Amino acid sequence: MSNVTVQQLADDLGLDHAALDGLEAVPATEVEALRGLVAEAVAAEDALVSDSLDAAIDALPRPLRGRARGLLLEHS
Amino acid sequence: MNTPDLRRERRLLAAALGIEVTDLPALAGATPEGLRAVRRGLGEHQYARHRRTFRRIGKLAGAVPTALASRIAQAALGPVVSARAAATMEPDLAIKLAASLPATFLADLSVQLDAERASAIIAGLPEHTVLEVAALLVERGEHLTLSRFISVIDTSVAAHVVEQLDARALLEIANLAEDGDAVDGVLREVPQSRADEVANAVTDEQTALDLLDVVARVSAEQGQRLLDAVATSETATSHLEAARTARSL
Repeated sequence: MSNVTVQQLADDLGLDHAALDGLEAVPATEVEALRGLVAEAVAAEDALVSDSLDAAIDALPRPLRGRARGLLLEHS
Repeated sequence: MNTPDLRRERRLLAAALGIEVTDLPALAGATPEGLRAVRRGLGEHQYARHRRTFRRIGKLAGAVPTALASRIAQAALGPVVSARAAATMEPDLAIKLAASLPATFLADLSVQLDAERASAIIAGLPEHTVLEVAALLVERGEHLTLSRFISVIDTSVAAHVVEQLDARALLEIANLAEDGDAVDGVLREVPQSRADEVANAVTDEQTALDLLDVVARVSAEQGQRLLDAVATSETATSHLEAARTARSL
């Protein structure tokens, strides 16, 4: 693989560089645009998970919240 | 080259990115395998980032009363996180929880569910639940979601779902499904009257192109059955000829 942006996209996704050989012929500017879309999708899911966890803890009866917070958010 | 595989992978990748396919860069020169690798890599990457949290949610759901878990899933976690967490649960627990959730929420959750990861759960759901949720997905026009479930639900159940689809939707779902063998299996269960309806739905060149794409990905036997049905309609035959000409250009 010689396309640097494709290698970067593979790194972003934690893939072997060879996994994205099928994008070798794609112009670098378009791969860069795809990297941007991937980053946006990851950030959107991160935010959604974080907001959902906060909401889930708030929905629990008050005495359970501390334990639930510890269980759900520790090292996550 | 704009092949059916490439069109399918563009649609699936756009959905994974949460955008319309028209907003996806042209990605000229990409192969279907390359796009598939990005889509699957993205799914794995997103899941891996929160795997531990999803497992903990699954554990918590098993530790509180089902009614409370159900309320939290609907009112707080929402369909995306609930779908991710469900995929980490023991199938028995997830099936028990599903029984406490309304079909509308299960339909929302299905849109977000990784069908392969949750295949054991889906296999254990009562048939009436699957059909009820599928009916809602059909009503909402969630063709892409329906296409993802073709390979994980029982063929005979899928055939019941197909009965609810209009012919154009059936063609679209058959083209979106990744598993061509599963599409073939469902078509085998479809009565000839439905095949005839598909033929009658070929009223323009685009539908004819969709039909040609389906024919190309199923067995020769099922493909010929569809083509034979088309041959009984003059209008459909003329659109099919136009589509063949357009494709060969």
